Amino acid sequence: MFPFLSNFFVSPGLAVAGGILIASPIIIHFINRMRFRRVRFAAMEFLLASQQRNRRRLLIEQLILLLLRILIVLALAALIARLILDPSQMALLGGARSHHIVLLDDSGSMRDQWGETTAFDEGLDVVRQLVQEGATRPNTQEFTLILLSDPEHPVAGLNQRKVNLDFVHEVETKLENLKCTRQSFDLNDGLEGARTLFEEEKSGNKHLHVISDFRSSNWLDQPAIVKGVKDLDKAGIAVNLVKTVNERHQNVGITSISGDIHMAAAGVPLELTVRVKNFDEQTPAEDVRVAIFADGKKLPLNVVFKQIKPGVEVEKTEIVEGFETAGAHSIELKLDPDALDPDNSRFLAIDVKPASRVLVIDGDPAGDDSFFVSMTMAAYQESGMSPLVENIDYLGRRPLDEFKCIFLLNVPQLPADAIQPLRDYLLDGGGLAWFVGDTVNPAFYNDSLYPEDEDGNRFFPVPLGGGRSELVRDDFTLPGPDLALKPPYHPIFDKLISGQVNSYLGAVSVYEYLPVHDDWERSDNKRKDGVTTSVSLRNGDPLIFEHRFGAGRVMTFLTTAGPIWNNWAKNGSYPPIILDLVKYISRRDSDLRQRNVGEVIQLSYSEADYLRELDITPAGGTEMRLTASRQQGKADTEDDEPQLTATFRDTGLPGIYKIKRIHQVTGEENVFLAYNVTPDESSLTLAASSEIDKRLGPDVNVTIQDAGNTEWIEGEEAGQEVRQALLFILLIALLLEQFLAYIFSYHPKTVGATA
Amino acid sequence: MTQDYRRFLRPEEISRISRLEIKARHIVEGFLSGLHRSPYFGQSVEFVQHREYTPGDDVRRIDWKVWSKTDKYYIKQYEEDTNLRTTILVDASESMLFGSGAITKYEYACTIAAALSYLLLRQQDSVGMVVFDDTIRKRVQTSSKQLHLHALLAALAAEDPKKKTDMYDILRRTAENKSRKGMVVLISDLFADRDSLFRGLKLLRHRGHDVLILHVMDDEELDFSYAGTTKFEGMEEAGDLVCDPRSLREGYMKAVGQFLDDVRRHCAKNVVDYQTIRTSEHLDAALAHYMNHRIGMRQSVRN
Repeated sequence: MFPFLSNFFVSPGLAVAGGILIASPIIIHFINRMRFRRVRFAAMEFLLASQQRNRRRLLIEQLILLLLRILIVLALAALIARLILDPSQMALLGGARSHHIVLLDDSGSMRDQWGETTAFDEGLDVVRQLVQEGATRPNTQEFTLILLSDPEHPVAGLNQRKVNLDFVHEVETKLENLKCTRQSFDLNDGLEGARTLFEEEKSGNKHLHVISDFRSSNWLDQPAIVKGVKDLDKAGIAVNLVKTVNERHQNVGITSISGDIHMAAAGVPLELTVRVKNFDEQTPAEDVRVAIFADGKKLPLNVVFKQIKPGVEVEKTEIVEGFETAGAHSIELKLDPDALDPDNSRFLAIDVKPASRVLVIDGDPAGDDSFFVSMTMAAYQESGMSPLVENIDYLGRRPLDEFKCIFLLNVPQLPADAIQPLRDYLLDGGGLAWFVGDTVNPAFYNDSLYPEDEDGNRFFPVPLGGGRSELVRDDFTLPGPDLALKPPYHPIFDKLISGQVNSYLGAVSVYEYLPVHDDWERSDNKRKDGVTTSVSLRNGDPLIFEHRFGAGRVMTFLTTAGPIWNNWAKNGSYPPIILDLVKYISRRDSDLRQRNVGEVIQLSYSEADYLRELDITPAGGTEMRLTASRQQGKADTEDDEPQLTATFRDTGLPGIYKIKRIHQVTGEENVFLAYNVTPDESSLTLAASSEIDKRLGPDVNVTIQDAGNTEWIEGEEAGQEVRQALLFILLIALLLEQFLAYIFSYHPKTVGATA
Repeated sequence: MTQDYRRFLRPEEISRISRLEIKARHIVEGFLSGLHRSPYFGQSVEFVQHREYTPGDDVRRIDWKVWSKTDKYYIKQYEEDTNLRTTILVDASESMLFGSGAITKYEYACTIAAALSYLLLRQQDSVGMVVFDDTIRKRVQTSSKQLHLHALLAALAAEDPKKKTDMYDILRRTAENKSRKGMVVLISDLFADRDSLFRGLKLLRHRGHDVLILHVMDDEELDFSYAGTTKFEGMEEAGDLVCDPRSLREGYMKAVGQFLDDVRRHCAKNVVDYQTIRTSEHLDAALAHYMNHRIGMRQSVRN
């Protein structure tokens, strides 16, 4: 009886009591029939006549009144016992066996803080209340908690557990240990995970409670999520979206930190570019200050933004004092606290080299070109560049990895043994700058360097047209630059053009150059071969090109590096152009990639080079020792050198992860890895319930609970329409009962009425 | 005994009714001259009018003084006073025991009977009394003596209503016992067989008696303002009924109204004087209303 009633009543006991009370009007009726006063009456003849005449009417009237009074009691009982017609709305209120899976969003945005609480804490409170309410009907409900960070695996010990009082205490302990991550997750994975868990269910009511902050970036214009919810709905799973944040909070976050980190060298100042975004789309952020910390020490410098307009991202570049010593160093940028803490800090790990080595290969034994290039680099010591001038044979004989970039000046042709090392170097991200000259063999270039290899890479960007051409100027008195620079300017020219030495570029004269082949299509848009014409001459012939070779960058100048075919090396724009060229093409593998929190640290290295043991100090943690394991059945090298793999997964905190490993020869080696939060979690703009409803469409049966509203847990929400209808019925029944009782009975006229 | 009958004739009632003048609706014949005028013109001291002599008139009535002055024969007409012989019938059936107020219908009827008796005796009219239910319980012969009042009151006090009413039998026996035309005053709630009542009244009228019905009804019988579940236990073996009286009131009032209309219509048809009297009304008010009505009727008959 009770199990059946509990399908339709929140309080089945009260429903039973109400059912019994239905008999009360009948009992009262009979009691009244038994409790009467006696009157000896003379005019019985008329009374009996009246009774005879009105017997049927009286019976009907009394029946109507009796039924109305029963209906009133019934409605009252249904109201008190909280009738719910649709058992699927019962949620935790009882009823048939129900399995409740709670998908708790533990992504970074759930760290949204206001007052003493966070969105995640609010979510935990909802879970607690859900379980507590379920425990009021012990062992009728099943509960599973999954986190968005790991939707395929329920939280240990909280998988399909029967809800009772003991379980409430157990949940409390487990919830205390749950922490909100700083990562970004795909909500659809969570929905899919819940659906997979439900697929194992064969019967019973299925409820999925998605507890999240419901940001617009997650829920609006996300067809995959809409589809996920619809699939759940089609699978007969009641989806309940529970909000934990009821109002938008302002958030400003650091979105990126960049600069010429790859050129970082000991004692060389660093150029840092900070990007900060005001994620609030309505309120501007005032006086935003970014503090800079180098190796944990605050620098006497703040990056200040007077005002950041709503939804706008701004950037500012500052030169900061470089690190004195080579090795692994860290930079941290920090904002003042606001609603979302994780994006107020951003970390950068820098591998500071003793110097940035540049290989300069000069094909001319006289070495005029290399002289100017190397002298330019050497002259600007604060650049940290260290040029090494060698002949063409160097390429095949020595490793190239130590060089940031390679300059090939007036090289007639590449020796056969140089081709592969140079290819490997470029594929690994190395930089290459071509300067031509009178020794260049166009036929070799066209036959060996221009054609694409099997990977679609080519050493030289264009086919050459044969011999050198002169850039003729009929009247030298006519002003006008030889270089036809057009916006958007190439990065190596951009800074110069916007700076004070802009006028120098106009004085650059190019006398001779190697023209491209006549058949070569000059329009980049039509050619679409990945080669970009960066600068042309005033006669329209292209002069400077850029293209990629694997991960490497290649810049090609169809004129000399020295002042032979041009006067550039004697021009004031030459040094900055060369220095910027080096920075632009230099390999960036020493610029340690910034990682997002949660990415696993996986280090692979040869056992011949390093010891198996390594120490790792996670962000905000203490040093711990890891032992690398051998990779099974895999040998990367021809000599079958065993490869070691070390894995560290606990990277949830943003910051610098310090790895210390021992090289068999050079000894201790430090590697810093910077972990940051993704800006995806920074926007705290909330999706309105109406908007979510609109996106989901009218056919999807999904309930959305506002933040702070817990009535749905107690069943206040469920059956609300029924209660309103019952109240209406009760009101009508009461009025009707009074009206009919008045109509059916005699009322003596008042004095006023008779008058 | 004395105390019993005196309860029907309290000093205040006596004081009130002594101011009333009771007069018969019709002029009936009698032995004693009184305040009641006779329809017959005969020897008397009260001259009424002159009428021109017509052959057959008694020549002794010719007013010779008028003849001497006018040389025409006129006859002198006198109004002859008579003594009123009244029989008061008091219903002592069980239904008369009903009373929702301080007094039952029977007590009220007795009070009326006593008052009428007192007045009539004061006017030296003859008063007789019959107390009845389904049969005549007590009969007091007609007399005009002042001391006769004690006998009348004693007859009223001795009765204890118990049985049903057989109206025709009572009225028939009353008619048979009254050899001379007179007045019959029936004081009853008339809760009896309707045909029996009407036949009895018709018989009385047929015998030339002037009939006056004082229909005594209790307020509750006329208004029926009971409320709440009530068990009505019928008097005179009428049966019981448990009901909500408010729900039956409309039908009850209709039935009572129809009953009163029937009685009133039949009385009018047979020239029976009829008056419904509530037990809550003052006796003098009821009698005054009655007397005014009778005077009006008398004048209409004479003209």
